[in-house]
Amino acid sequence: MRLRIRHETRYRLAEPARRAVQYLRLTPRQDRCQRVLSWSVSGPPSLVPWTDGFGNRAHVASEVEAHDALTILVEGEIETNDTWGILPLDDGLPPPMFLRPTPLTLADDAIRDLAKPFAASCVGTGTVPTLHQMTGAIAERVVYATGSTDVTSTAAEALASGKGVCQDHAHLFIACCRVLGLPARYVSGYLHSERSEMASHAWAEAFVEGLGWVSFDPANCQSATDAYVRLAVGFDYAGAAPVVGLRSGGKGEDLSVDLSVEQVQSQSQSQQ
Amino acid sequence: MLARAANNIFWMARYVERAEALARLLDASLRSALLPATGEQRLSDWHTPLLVTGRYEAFREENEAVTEGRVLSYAILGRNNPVSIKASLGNARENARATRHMLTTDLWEGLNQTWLGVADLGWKDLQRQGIVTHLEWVRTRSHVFRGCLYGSMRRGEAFWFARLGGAIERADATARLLRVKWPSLQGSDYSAGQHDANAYYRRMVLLDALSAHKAYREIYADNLQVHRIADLLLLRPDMPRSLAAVADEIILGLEKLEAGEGSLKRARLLRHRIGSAQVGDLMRTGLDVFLGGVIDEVADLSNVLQTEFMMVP
Amino acid sequence: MSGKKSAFDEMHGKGGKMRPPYADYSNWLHAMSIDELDRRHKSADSIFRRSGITFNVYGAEGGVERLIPFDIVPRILAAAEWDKVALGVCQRVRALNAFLDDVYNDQNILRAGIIPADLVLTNEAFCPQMLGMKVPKRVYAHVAGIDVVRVDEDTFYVLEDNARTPSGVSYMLENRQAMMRLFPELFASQRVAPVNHYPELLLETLRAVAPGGVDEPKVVLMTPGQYNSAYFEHAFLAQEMGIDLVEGSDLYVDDATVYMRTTKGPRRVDVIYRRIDDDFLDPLAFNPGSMLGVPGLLAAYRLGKVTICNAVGGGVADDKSVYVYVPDFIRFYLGEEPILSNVPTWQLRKPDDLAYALAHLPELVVKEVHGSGGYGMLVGPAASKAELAEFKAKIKSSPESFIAQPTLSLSTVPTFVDKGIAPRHVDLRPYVLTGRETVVVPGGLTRVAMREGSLVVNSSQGGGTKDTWVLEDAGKEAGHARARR
Repeated sequence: MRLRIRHETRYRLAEPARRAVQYLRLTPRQDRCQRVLSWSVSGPPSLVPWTDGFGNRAHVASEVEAHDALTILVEGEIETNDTWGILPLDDGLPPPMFLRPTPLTLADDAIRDLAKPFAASCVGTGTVPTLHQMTGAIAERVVYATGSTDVTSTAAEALASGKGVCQDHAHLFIACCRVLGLPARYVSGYLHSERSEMASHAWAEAFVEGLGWVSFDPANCQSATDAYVRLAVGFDYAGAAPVVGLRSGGKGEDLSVDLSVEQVQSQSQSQQ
Repeated sequence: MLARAANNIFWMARYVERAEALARLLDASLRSALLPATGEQRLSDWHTPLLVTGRYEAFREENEAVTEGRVLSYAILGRNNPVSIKASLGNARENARATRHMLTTDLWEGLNQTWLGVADLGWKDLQRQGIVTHLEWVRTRSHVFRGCLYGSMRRGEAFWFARLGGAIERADATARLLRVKWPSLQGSDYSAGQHDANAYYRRMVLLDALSAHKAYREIYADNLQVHRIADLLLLRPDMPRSLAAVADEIILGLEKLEAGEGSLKRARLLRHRIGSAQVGDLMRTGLDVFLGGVIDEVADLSNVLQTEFMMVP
Repeated sequence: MSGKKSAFDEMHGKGGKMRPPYADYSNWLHAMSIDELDRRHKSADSIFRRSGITFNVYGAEGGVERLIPFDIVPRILAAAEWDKVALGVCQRVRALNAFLDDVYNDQNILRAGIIPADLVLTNEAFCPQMLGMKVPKRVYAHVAGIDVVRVDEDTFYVLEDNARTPSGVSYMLENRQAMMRLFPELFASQRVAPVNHYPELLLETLRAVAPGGVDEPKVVLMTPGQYNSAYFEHAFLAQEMGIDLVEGSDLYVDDATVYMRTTKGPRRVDVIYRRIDDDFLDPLAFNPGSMLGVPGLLAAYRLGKVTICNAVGGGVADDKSVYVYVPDFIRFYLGEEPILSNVPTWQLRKPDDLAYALAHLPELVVKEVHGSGGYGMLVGPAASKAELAEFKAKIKSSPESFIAQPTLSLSTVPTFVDKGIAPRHVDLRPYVLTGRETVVVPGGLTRVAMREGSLVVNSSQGGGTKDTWVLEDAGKEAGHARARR
C-alpha cells in the first residue's frame, strides 16, 4: 500500500520558554515491510539526524533562543507490504534484551493472573494463536477510551482501571509476554484507518522462535498489516515515543496536531 | 570561566563582606549603647541592625521585645535569619565550596576555617568569649579573606568577580548604614558653640564602624561635623568604604572583566551620580532620597551583572 | 571467624617475623613514642579538617560532612608484590574494555557461549542505547577501580571490579600529601614510588579519547553537585587537572553539540569526565525525572560529537553476576591466563550453588548482584541469627540477585587505634587508567576496617584509609622523577 503522510505538531506557549531540546522519532524505520519513497522532517531551528541504540532514525531538535511557538512538520510517502505481521530478524537487536521489565511494563499480580492461562499453550506452533487469544483477552479487560490515561500510566494501572488507549494495550501485552518468558517490544507508528484517532498509533511485537518478530495490535485485535507504518521500537513508550522534549521556562502550552495518513494510487510512482 | 562559577565566586565575596558589615554595625550599636541616653534612645539603637538588614518585621514575629540580647543573638546566630553573620559566613563557604577548585588553597582554607569558627557556635559560647571579641574576630576573618584574595589569587576572572562582589556588597552596606544612622547624627555642631555630647559620640561611633575616624582627623583636622562626615563617607574616593571608592572599584572590575555596555553604563552612571553630588545640597535635602537611589541602582547593577555574565535568568 | 585467628599480617608475616618491606619503617616506629604518634595523628586530623576533605553521609540531615578516618601507619608493598598486582589489574581492565566493546557491537562472546547471553542482555546495567556505537579508541572503562584483597604471602584476589564511576582516588593523593607533611623523614630515607602524577595521567587519558579531529579538546568534570558524597573529590580532581567542574545545568546541547555556559558565551565541550550515573545523564533518554543531566546528550554522544568517560553502559562489566566470568574474558579476548584470581564465588541463580549457600550461610559473605558500597551485604560470621534468617528469606525470594563467597580472612596491617598500634583488616583499590594505553599508578587506596575484627572497609560503613607505599627497588632507577606539587 502506498501511503501519504502529513503530520504537523504545533506548540504555542502563553509565556515564552528560554530554550528547548527534543528527540523526534518521526522517520520510518528501514525494514522489509516498508520502503520510504520520500520523507522530510522540518520546523525546529536546529535539526540533526541520529540513530539511537534501537536503530530508530531520530532527530535531535534544539531551539536556544527564547520562543513562544514551535512547529514540527513531517511529510512523506511510503510503500508498505503486508507480511502477515511477521518481521524477519534483521534489525540487529538481540531478542533476549526485550525480556527486561521496565517501570511502565512491570507485571503485578493481576497481570500475572491475566497471562497465566496462556502459558500452557504458548509453545511451538501454538504460540502465535495463543498470543492472538491473549490480545483478545487484553482488549476485553481494557476498553479503548481516549483520554483515560496519560503517557506515564503503567500497564498495571491500565489493567486496574479497565480503560486505556493503544499505548496501554501495548504495554499490557508486553508485560504479559514477559511473564510468559517471551521477548516483547513496543512499536510506535502511523496507522491508515477509518478511526482518525488511531492515525498516530502504538502496538507491540513479540519474538517467536523460528518466525521472528510478530506484531500484535491489541487495540484492534489483529496483527499489523500494510496499513501500519513503523516509526520506532523500544522497551516501552519511554524509549519509542515519537516526540520527547524538555524546555526551560515557558508556561501555558497549547498543543495542536494535524495528522493525515492517506492511501494514494501507486501505479505511476516516481523515484527520487 | 563557567558562568555558574562566576556567580558562586561573586556571591562568596558578597557574603563575606555582608558578614563583616553586620559585625561593624553591631559593634557600633554596642558602643552607642554605652552612651548615656534615655531608654527610648537606647532601644532605637537596637532597632538599627534589624532595619539595616531588612529583618525588623521577621524579628518581631519571633520576638515581642527588641532587646540588646535578642537582637545580638538574632543578628549573629539567628536560626531563622538568612542574613545573620553565621548564615552569611555559611553561604560564603558554600559558594566557595562549589568553586573550591578555582580558589587557592590559602583562600579556601582561610574561608573554611572562618566557617568552622562559627559552625558550632551557640549563644552561650558567644557570651563566654565576649560579643565584642567575636565581632572583632569576624572583621579580622574578613580581612584575612581579602588578604588571601589579594595575596594569593591570580588576577584572572575569578579574582575580579570576587572583587566585584565585595565592592557591590560594600556599596550596599555603606549606603544602608548611613541611611539608617543619619538622623541620629543630627544635633548641633560644636562650631555653633553648643555642646551636644551625644551627637558627637554617635558620629564617632559611626566613623569607627567604618574605620574612618582617624582619616577624618587627618583630612579635616576639625571637629566631627555632619557635612564633613558625608563628604568623607560618600564622596571621597580615597576612603575604602566610601561610595565613591566602591563605585570606582566596581568600574575597575567591570573593565577588567570586559563587561558589556549594559553593566558598565549603569556603573558609570552610579559613579557620576555620586561624583556630582554636592555636600551642601545633600545637607539641605537629607540623605534619605539620595541613598535610597544608590541602593536601588546597586541592586539593579547586580541583577544586570548576573544576567550578563552568570546566565542567571 | 574473626580475622584475628588466622589473618596474614603484612608487617609481621606468619611467624611474627618482620617482613622485609616493613623493616625500615618498623625500626622507625619502635623509636617513636606513642605520645609523639598521637600528636602527629591529631595534626593529620587538623590538616584534613582545615582543607575540608570530607565526604557527605547519605541519610543524614542536609548531608552531614564527615572526615574519613585516616590512619598514619602506611601500608607497604615491595616492588615485586606490587608488580604482580599492577600487571593483574591492568590485564583485567583490558579484558573488561574488550568485553564492553564486544557486547555492544559484535557480541562474539555471547555467540561463543563463554557467558550466558541472558545474563548480559537482560542485565539492568546492559544499556541498549550503546548498541552499534563506536567509542573513541574502543575504550569504555577509562577509569577503573579494581578491589584487591590479600590472604597470605602470595595470594591476592580480585574482590570486585568498578567500571562505572569509582571514587576514592583523591584520598590516595591527599593521604600521600598528608604523610609527606607529617613524616618527611620517612620519605627522605625510603624510596616510595610517587602517586602525585595521577591527575596528569588522568587528563592525558581523557584527552586521548577526545572525538576525532579535535586538536585541543575541552575536557570538563561533571558532578551531581556539591551535596554529592564525593563532591570533594570532584572539586579536587578538577583543580588538579585545571579543568572546569560543571553541573548538568551548566551544559546544553545545540546542533547535536555540547556547550557550556561561560562568562564569555558558549564554549564547546569535547570530553565529559562524568561522576554521575548513567541514569542521570540525559533526561530525554534515561531517567526522565533527572534534574542533573543534559537533554540531548545521548544524541551528541552517539554522533561522536562528545566523549563521555566512563562510557555509558559500563556497569554490565562490573556487575557481580558478570564478575564470575571475568577470568574467562581474559582468556577469550587476550589469550592470556589471569594473573590475579577471582574469589571463589557461588552464583545463587544456579540451583546447586543456591542449595550450598543456604546450607552454609553463617560461613559466607553474600552480596547483592547490583549493590555497591557495602550496602545490601551479609557477612555470615558476624551476623545475628535474626539477620541470617532475614537474609535467607531475601535470597529465596530472588536467588538471581545474589552471589556468595567464602569469608576471606583479609590481611591485616598495623593501625593506630585508641589502644595504640593493633592489626586491622585492609583491602586495596588501585586506579587503572585507559586512554592510549592501560596504566596504573603505584599503590592505590588502602581501605582499613577500623573496628577490631571487622572485615567491612567501606567508608560508608565506618572504614578508614591508609597511605599505600610501593617501595622501589634500591638497585632500580626510578622510572620518573618524583612529582611534587
